[in-house]
Amino acid sequence: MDDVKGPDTSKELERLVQTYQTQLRRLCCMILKDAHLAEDAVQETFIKVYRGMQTFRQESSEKTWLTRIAVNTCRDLMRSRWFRHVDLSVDIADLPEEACESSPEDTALLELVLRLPLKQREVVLLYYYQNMTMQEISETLHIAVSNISRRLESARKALRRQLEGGMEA
Amino acid sequence: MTDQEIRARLHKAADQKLSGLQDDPWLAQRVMNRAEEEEPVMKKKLSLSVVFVLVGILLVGTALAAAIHTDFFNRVFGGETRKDVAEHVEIIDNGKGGLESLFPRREYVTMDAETAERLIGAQVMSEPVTVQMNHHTLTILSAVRDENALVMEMTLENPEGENALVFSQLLNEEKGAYFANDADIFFCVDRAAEMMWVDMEGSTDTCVHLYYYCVFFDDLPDGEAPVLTAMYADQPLSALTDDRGRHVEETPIPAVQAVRTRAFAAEDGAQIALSPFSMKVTLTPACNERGAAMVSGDEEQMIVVPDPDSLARIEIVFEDGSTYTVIDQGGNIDNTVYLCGGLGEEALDTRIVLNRLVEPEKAAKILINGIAFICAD
Repeated sequence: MDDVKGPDTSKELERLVQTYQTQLRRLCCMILKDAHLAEDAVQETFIKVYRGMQTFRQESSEKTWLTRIAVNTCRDLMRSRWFRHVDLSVDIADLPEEACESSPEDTALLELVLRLPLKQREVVLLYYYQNMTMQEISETLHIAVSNISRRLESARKALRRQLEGGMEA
Repeated sequence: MTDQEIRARLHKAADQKLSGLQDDPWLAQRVMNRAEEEEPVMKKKLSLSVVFVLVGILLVGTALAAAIHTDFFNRVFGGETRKDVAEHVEIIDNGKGGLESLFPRREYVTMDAETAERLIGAQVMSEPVTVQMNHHTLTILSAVRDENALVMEMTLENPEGENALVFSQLLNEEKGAYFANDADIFFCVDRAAEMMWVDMEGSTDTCVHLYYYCVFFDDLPDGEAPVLTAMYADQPLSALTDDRGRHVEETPIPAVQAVRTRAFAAEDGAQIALSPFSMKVTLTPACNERGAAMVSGDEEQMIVVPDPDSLARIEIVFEDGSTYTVIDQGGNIDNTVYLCGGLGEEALDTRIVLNRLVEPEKAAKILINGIAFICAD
């Protein structure tokens, strides 16, 4: 612990929290589909970041590094017995009240994204919501770029089919 | 709809829909506090009481220990508490009139006590460890682990009636027992995924006798104690909206010494670590994709990160020519107790708890999806 303590590390953590807290919380919420668990995931993510600051080798971007930790933290939470056996997931309508209303079409798209299988949902969120490149997603998820393309394409097809088919699901 | 349109609409919807999620102004401070609080747990040294327990284990007479181990081996790994199961169809209640589900064939094999003792006897913890949660008493009777997996025999007792777990014989074959939604307790091994197999004949209304099989998210090195986290409250845990009223206790499990594993490797570098009761598989993309193709021609299945579904067939071939079919998806055979994929730092490992004891030194090769893994030690 001593190696990560000190004013510089604390300031650096505060900067990272300030910069990434909002988007990581939203990303975790969309992966986990649970606002309370997303809180836990974000806190856990920053604890790992705080402990790992000295070992961050800057081989990837700061954002990629944080996103990777957040995604893995969400995966850990989803693997846990607590997550698998106690259904805490909430419907999108139960998410914290929004500050301003979104259009029904946009909400429908979000609902469809949240209904995608986890593997597709992760890629879609990182690509479209986190604005990451295929290469960055590859580094984040440890998946070959070609496979990310496949997952994205499958997800795109599913989204278009559902949206243009009038939300029969 | 173009990529730009999807991006713009998703951003708009997510940012608006999730705008109610409040930022935590004290998050950085909270993180620093928690990181400091938890650090001793992460590097937890064995407490004096645990050391006394370990010394106690060493002092137990060899003959008595061997007798206890034999019972443990038979119950946890052998056929004493479970019978072979043929492939069968069950109707699973899905709230929509039932869903037909095909359960796989399972075969259990009991190993002779002497060989079992030689393989893992020295590493078995058999000094009970007790954790109190409200009126529930959890007692770990025996435990043994390697770097990949931990297996425990335990009881959960409540003199007022033990109802924290939902279990049945069918659940034993499916996903294992689970905590009831109104349970006021919860326990798990840290950084591990698990299944709980309940001994139906050995359980009563006030005492559930169970076997706990778990795989670690990351290798747990020899010499480190796995940690059991127990939670309890004076109301159902699922009713709590925050940490208030939730008691959390961490207990080191003195199964400190890891059973050794034997390494096997394929030509393309894929690896297996085999212990007498577990297996860690680290596949390469080629092996993984071949398995995926064996299971399904679906392009979407062709993933690089190993997925349990891509382990179409695993077979251990022994020097005497006998074989142990661990999984055969085509033949609908499942001779694992528990399997979990996407583990390890790089999420490339699949870890399996076997449903019997094996002698790794007598394994000539392991076949996964037809690819041979030869001993690499």
